[in-house]
Amino acid sequence: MSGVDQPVSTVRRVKQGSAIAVAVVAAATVLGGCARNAPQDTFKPEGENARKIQNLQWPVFLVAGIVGVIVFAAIIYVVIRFRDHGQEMPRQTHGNPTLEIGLTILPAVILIAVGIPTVSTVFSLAKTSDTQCVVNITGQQWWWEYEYPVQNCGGVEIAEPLVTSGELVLPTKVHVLLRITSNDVIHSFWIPKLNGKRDAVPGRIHPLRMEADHPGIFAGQCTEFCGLSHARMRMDAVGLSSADFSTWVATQLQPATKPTDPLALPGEDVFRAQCSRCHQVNGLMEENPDGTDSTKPVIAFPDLYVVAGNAPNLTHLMSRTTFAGATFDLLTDSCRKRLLEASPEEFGALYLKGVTPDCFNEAELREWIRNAPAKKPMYSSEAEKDQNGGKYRGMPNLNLTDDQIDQIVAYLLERK
Amino acid sequence: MFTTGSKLFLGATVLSVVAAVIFGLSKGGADGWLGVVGLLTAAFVFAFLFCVNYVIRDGNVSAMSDDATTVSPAAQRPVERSGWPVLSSVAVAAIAVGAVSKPIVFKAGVVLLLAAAVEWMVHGWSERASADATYNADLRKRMLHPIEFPVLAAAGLAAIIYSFSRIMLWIDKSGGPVVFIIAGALVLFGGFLFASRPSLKTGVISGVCALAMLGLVSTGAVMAVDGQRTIPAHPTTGSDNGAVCDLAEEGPGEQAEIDDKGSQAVASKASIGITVTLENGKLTAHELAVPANQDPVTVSRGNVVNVIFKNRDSVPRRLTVNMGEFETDINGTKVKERPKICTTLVHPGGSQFLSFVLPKPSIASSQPYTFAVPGVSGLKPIEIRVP
Repeated sequence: MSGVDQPVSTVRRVKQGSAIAVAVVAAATVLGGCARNAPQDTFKPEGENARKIQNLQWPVFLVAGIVGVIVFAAIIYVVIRFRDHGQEMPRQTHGNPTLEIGLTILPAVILIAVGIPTVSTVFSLAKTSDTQCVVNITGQQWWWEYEYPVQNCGGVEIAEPLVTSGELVLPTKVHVLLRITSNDVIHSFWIPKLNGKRDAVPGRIHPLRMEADHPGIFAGQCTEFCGLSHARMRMDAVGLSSADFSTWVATQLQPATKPTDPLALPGEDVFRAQCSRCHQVNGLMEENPDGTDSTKPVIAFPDLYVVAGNAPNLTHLMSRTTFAGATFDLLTDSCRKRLLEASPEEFGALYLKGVTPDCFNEAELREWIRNAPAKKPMYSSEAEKDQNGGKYRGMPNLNLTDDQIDQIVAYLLERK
Repeated sequence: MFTTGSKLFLGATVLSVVAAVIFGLSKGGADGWLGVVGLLTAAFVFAFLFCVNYVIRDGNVSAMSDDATTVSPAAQRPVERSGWPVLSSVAVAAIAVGAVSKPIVFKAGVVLLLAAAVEWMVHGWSERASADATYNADLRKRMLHPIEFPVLAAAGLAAIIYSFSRIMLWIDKSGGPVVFIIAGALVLFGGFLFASRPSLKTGVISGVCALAMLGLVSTGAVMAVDGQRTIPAHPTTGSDNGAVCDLAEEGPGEQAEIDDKGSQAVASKASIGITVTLENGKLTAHELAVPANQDPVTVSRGNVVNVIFKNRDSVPRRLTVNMGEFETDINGTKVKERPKICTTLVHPGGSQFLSFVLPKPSIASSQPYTFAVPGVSGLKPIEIRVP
């Protein structure tokens, strides 16, 4: 190797190394976007509204991508082709009306072409006149509450308002209108496969259309930073056929039944003494001095304890498959897998079974009851309570004994 | 050795670290750590800038040579007089006084100290930039005028706006338009005068403007000290357990004036969740974005419900929210409470805002929650249900 060849070879090696590094970074970036199981994939809509967004976004991204590639390619070509290597200064020109007019008209035409379907889609997504069902949604640190007003919801009569949390149950192929608000700070509601996101702002109601094509579970996530456990403020939308939805409504309107399990009976007492300060269980009655149930319902008063002034209603906890802001599973892994992989025809029946003893993820719930803030960070220690005007943000550690935890778990397992 | 720029950033680095330690020790807790992280971040940034300046020698060839700061003609120039040290000491005094009196004095001291420090630094640097004093002065202006002029202009405008606002808040409500008209006329007259007399000396114009400014600011200061006039409140709601909310006519005593002078229009309609309308002897409720009217209405537990009431009746009416019936124990005696909240009287064609919270579900109350309008015979109230 000659002395002249040495530096050339080094430069080539550096160039090759740089090219490989760039290729690796680019490949990693592209491959990082791939996933086999992506429950929050916006590019795979499973509802009419999300499909409208998808039908708009892919051609827009295509046009933007082509423009971007052309612009970047032109810049790279010019930078390399006309780089300074000692050549003479080229002839300078000023003004080229044809080029300037062309470069003004072309983007205008592209923008108009993109703008017309965009405006059309925006109006279409804002439409509420075709509503067939209404659900009121309230965001709070760090869970979502769903209320179904008295109405005919896509053919299913709801005679009494009902409330649930974590899982938004919808009749499929029905235009559902969500009326979204918040109890404490700003949150944002997003089920990517069913529609775009909508902020939940205290004191305001923001409407959002929602429709699911088929029965199944559609995952979502709060998308506005809302405090310590923002990342653990999730939600699921559950699509059910009209018949299954009707069954679900009927179940939800039933008051809680008296516990039958010998362990659940004292569990009811512990629940009444500890949990019912914040959590409502419809049908739970106050206790007479002789130990029998009175006719006076136990009314939770979370407004005295938590900043949001609310806590999840647990009347039918085991009809849901998650708890604590849809963060933790009430189902074991195998049962959850079976539910997620169920065909649309089988899904409804499987979901309506709720949490059965053989599918119960007891360890998860037990850990939560033992020390909730250790499982999901919340401002709920005594010191933090003082900083929040004497109220908790989230569920505090109740310092229950193992026996009490056993009893409460047994009691909750019967809340279907 | 260290260049001037690197010394500056080294000092800032050390200062940030010391501040982080003091802040962390004195504040403690989560807030303390947040401050420590912020100050240490600043220290890292300053340290980085110190390294950069040290390596590139301030990007200045002369910094490579000690001669530039020791034996060059620029270095031999006598130091000019400067008012910035005096201003800096005033600022430090303000910080000390503000630390034990009012936070605003402390903040003003900090701002003043920062401004004086920047001015002092640039002044000190520019007076040794060359041996030519005129060139040095120009250099200083070139550096600082782009900052000084906008800041001074903003401060002047703020003084005018604040003074004028104090004057407007001091004078009687009916006097406001008169003052506006006179002030506007004076400005117009002054502008006309200056424009029609181009021969007027700049000094005269500046003097007139300075006098006007002085008059405005001093009047504003006097009126700010005296305080604003009493602005009567016109509440739009009552909640005295039905004494007013059950009345179809004006309430007694002070409530009569409130009913008479209550606002008849709602300015902000953006956060209205439910619109309740009384028309043809019938009450209807329309929830935002829902196509049809609702009866019953379902609202969230513990959440704010914002309602607008529209009276399309021929006589004044008020909307009352019956917030259930609850039995409470007062000194061993069971008492039934029926909390209510209502608008003041809404004149025909008027509308009013009402905001309330229902912290308990409907099953907690022995009576339903309802929207009602007292005095309308045969009116069916609208039930409010809280799941």
